[in-house]
Amino acid sequence: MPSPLLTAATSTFESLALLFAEAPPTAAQAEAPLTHAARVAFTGPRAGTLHVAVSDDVAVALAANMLGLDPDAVRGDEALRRDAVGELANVVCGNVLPLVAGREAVFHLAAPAACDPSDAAAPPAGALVEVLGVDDGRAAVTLSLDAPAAPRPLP
Amino acid sequence: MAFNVLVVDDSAVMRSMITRVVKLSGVPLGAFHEAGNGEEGLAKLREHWIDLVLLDINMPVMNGEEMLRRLRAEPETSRLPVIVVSTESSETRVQALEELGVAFVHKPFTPEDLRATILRVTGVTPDDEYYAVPAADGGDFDF
Repeated sequence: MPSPLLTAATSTFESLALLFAEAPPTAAQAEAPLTHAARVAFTGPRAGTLHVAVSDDVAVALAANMLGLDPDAVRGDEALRRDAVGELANVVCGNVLPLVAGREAVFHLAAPAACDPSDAAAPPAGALVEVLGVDDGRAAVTLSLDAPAAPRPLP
Repeated sequence: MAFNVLVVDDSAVMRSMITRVVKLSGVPLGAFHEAGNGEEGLAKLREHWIDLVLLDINMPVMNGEEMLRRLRAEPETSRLPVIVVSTESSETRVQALEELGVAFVHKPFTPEDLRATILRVTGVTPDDEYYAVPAADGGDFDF
């Protein structure tokens, strides 16, 4: 049975940008360097961060498909690619949280922020990580949950 | 009647996606305005006559929920048609938003879902004399 993170990530790639993602990536896909990344912090019953890193051709395909443009039209536009990856992180985060915490849980998501793709290489201990093959590249999606708050001592 | 539309989302790519669907929805359109957060959205509402707002929730500076509460507090915009387009999945929070008189479309949305919601909220139907036949060049969208 796929993990909630894999379910949310694959369905988001498909619905948002008509891109089919599969885990694990092929050997060729796995070699593609991660060049763009975004993270979304959230608070609620559990706080944490959703981090998405993708290779450049995935960022290009993502932006091009979302905008209905030819890939060449977005290849030279770094801001568009960064924006598309941020929106991908936002949608994956919004869709994975109810899968792990239930649809009644109320989370507050921060706006997506661009970050260092190399963060995907060293996920925090206990983080849920999925690496997917997408087109000729790959995506690494990491869900990190902060430790639950310690109970307050009685006064 | 032509609808002046305001799209509020911090993602320029998402604003473009939403704008494409609105333009293909069949709703007669006037001017399009965009804003990157709730504060800019309220400023656009003060500057322009707006008939329909498509509003994200998770945005920097001022989120969509705060913008919605402020515009509902003003007599001029208390009944303005608003469609929230968001990743929000909590039933509790979606219900709270709907109690503020908005329609809700979940991201990622299909063009068909967003178009159906736009037609429902605006009251425009394909039988309506105002209905504008969507452009033949629909890009990747096929209603």
